[in-house]
Amino acid sequence: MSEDYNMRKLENAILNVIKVGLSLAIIFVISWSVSAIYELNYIRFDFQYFNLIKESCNSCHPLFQNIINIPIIFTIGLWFLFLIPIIRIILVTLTFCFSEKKIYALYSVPILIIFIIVIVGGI
Amino acid sequence: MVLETVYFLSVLILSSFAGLIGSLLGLGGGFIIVPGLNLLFDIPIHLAIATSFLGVLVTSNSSSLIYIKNRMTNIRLASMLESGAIVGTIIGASISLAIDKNLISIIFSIALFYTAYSMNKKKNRVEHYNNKSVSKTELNGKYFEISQNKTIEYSIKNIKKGISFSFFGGIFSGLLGIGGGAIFVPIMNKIMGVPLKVSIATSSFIIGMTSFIGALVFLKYGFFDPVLAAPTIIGMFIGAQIGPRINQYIKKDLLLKIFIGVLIYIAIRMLLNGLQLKLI
Repeated sequence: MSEDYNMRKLENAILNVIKVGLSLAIIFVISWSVSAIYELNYIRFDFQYFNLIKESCNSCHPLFQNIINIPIIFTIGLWFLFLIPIIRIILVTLTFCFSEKKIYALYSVPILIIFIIVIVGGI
Repeated sequence: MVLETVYFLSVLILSSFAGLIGSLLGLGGGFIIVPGLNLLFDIPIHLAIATSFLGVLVTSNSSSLIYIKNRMTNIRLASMLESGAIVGTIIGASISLAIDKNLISIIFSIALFYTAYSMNKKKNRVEHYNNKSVSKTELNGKYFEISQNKTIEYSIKNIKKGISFSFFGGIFSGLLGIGGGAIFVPIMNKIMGVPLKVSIATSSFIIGMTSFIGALVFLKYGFFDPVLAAPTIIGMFIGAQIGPRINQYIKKDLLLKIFIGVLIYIAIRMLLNGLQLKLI
């Protein structure tokens, strides 16, 4: 397979990730906004099981502690938005690792490692 | 009422404007949203920066959709610059959280003056690229130039220099909550010799990463308000969708002149705010 073909496949995959991620993020954020404006409590408030997670997450990483304090519908939307760059860098890294010009993976692999450190680690 | 309709609509209008201008001029929109939230809605600067990162993430992805579809984004180049920019963003965001809010306002106003100056220069510049100068051994790319109806090939120079500068671009992006388009575009265009259109497209792609990292760092420290973030995300999405569609009907020169004027006004307001002086 040629390099150009690989890059086209990568571009199409990234386009699909952005389309799906962005659409779902906007839908969830709009849903939360409507529920918050019109006080639709069954959407706005956290579900019962979510409160259980909150209680058991007292010693979690601060990032997760702050995320679970956000209303659940909004959190889902936010994570669809956050998933776009995460999936994007995984796709880019995989494409570079399996292409002829592996040199570019030297740049994307560290980014992936930094992502993991920031999300799971302590920065 | 949890979320007041008037408040929601006001932030929505501001962020739609930021998204619109950002997508029309190749900026993320953070240059409008941060001072807008800070000066008009009296939102603390750190919260405004955190909210701006989320909005910029939306505009960057939205405009990347169009640029990737038109095959103008250089993904290899973006990966290289992202490696420097992301480290810079983490450092910048950490500095931003550690320093005084007045100092951030002053730095922001300097960045605004710089952007106004660079936009004034950009408006008078005409680009010329010819295929003969392309070296086949370098990291090169090509794109279709509609105005000339031909494919333009280009090669990229000063890669190490570009990565180093993108690190500093990342610092500014993390420090001020801006996407960094005003910094990454000149790095690619002036230092690396990338055509302006490709620079703007690739910059939008890079901003998607830097704003994500910036948002995570601020979120970790609790700088997040869904009541503020929701209209910002929706508004910037709307603005970024309208921008590319009305692009061909807008007189760019006039828009640039107005925008430069607005930037200078915001810069003066931010500077006075940082120095804790009141406008008479």
